[in-house]
Amino acid sequence: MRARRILVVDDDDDICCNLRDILEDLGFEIDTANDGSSAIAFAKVHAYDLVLLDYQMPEMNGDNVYRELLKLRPKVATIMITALANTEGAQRSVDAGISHLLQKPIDVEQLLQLLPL
Amino acid sequence: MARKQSEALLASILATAVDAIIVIDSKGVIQLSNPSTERMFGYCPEEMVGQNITMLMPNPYRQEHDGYLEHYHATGQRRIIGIGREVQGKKKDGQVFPLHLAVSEVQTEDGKLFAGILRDISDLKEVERKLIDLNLELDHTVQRRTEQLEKAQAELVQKEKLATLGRVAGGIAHEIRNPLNAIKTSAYYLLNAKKPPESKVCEHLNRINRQVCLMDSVITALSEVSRNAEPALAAVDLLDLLMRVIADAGIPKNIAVSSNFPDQVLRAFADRDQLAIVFRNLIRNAVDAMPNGGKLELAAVCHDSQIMLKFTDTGVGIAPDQLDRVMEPFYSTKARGLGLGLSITRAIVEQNRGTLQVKSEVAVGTTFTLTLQKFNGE
Repeated sequence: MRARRILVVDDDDDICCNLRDILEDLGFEIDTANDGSSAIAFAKVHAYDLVLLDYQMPEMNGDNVYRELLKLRPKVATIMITALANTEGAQRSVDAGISHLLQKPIDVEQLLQLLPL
Repeated sequence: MARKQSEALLASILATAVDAIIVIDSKGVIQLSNPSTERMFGYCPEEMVGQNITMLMPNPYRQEHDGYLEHYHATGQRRIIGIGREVQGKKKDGQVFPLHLAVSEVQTEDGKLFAGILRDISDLKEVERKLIDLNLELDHTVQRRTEQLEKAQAELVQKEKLATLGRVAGGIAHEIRNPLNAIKTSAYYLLNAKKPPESKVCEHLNRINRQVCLMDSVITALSEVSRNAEPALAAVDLLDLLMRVIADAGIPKNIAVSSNFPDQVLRAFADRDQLAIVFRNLIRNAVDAMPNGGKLELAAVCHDSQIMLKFTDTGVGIAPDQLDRVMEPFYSTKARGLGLGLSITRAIVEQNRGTLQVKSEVAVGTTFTLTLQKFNGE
């Protein structure tokens, strides 16, 4: 059985690395992107089982990235992660069909329960 | 003019005058009245001539008039005669109305006579009253509007305060949650990873340390806002300080720093520690504007009483509509950051009697020009 592949998108490289370490340790295959355009480039190549997407990033925010991802992969499962107190912007992605919205600092156990087996 | 002609002219004037004309003797007895008097008071001449002038007066004028005449005869002190004043008249039907009275004294062979010319000023008074009412109404309207404006302004200030508070709280929450997220996920990895290699453990501990420093820098930025300390002005060697700040700034290798400084020592009259914050913020701002590398040019020009420092980057630039706002507190064009750096910088510069100006062009770069007072003492 092939390993589940997850794309982690966050402009903070430390967070990308941490999630990579945690998820790789659990047997997932991980790609990381620090901005929206890199994330979209990855999504053109791979059909990810899940995208973990930061909301507030320079140039393209998470909502804009999600909408571009949907054009490429209409059924892509995505979890939006936001550090903002006001989740109004990220909520638009929920309305557009995003799977879950988590607030930073994330509860990793809660995140793991949402991952594809 | 012949006497008869003169009498005819006077009679004609009396008959046609718009104002009432009444002649009384020294005791106040009416000797003569013209047709306008009849129209004004409603009495025919026969009812008036021979009567005391007080018949045309309401109280208190009526009671005071005889005394007034006696006082005038005894002392010669005038209150109306030759002066004229506003008084009240009383018509036959009892109606009291305002009138202007001018009295002249005429000396005849038979003794003193007084000629009064009376003008009904009811219309004038009515207009005056309306004007006063209008003024009062205007005053009330202005007062009401002022109160409304003050209330609206207070509400606006309150809303602005709340909006600022919201931006502050949101900014702080964001800037704290991001490092917390990194720390929490690192801690999770360290607690749960199956046999993590030592290098990984070290990497995560370093990451935690780095993120704690980031949070500390947020607190530092906030305390710099609240501190607002008085600068301790003294001579500061600008280029020495600038080089020290650059050495500690951790400027990425893909950013080339060049300088164009005059050979002389540039000494500004400023607070050295506060100026270091200014330099740090301007350099960090330039570095943040060049995520893919670029050039940071530093230049200094010395004038008689001022020193001008320019920080020019080849970064992303600032859009014209954002340029006016970049130095406002809690306004940020970046995805990360509280939006305090430039507002703190400007506040410090102004406290140090300097100015900070910005020019920018999108996709070309930004220049911050810092002008400081030159140290001219020994």
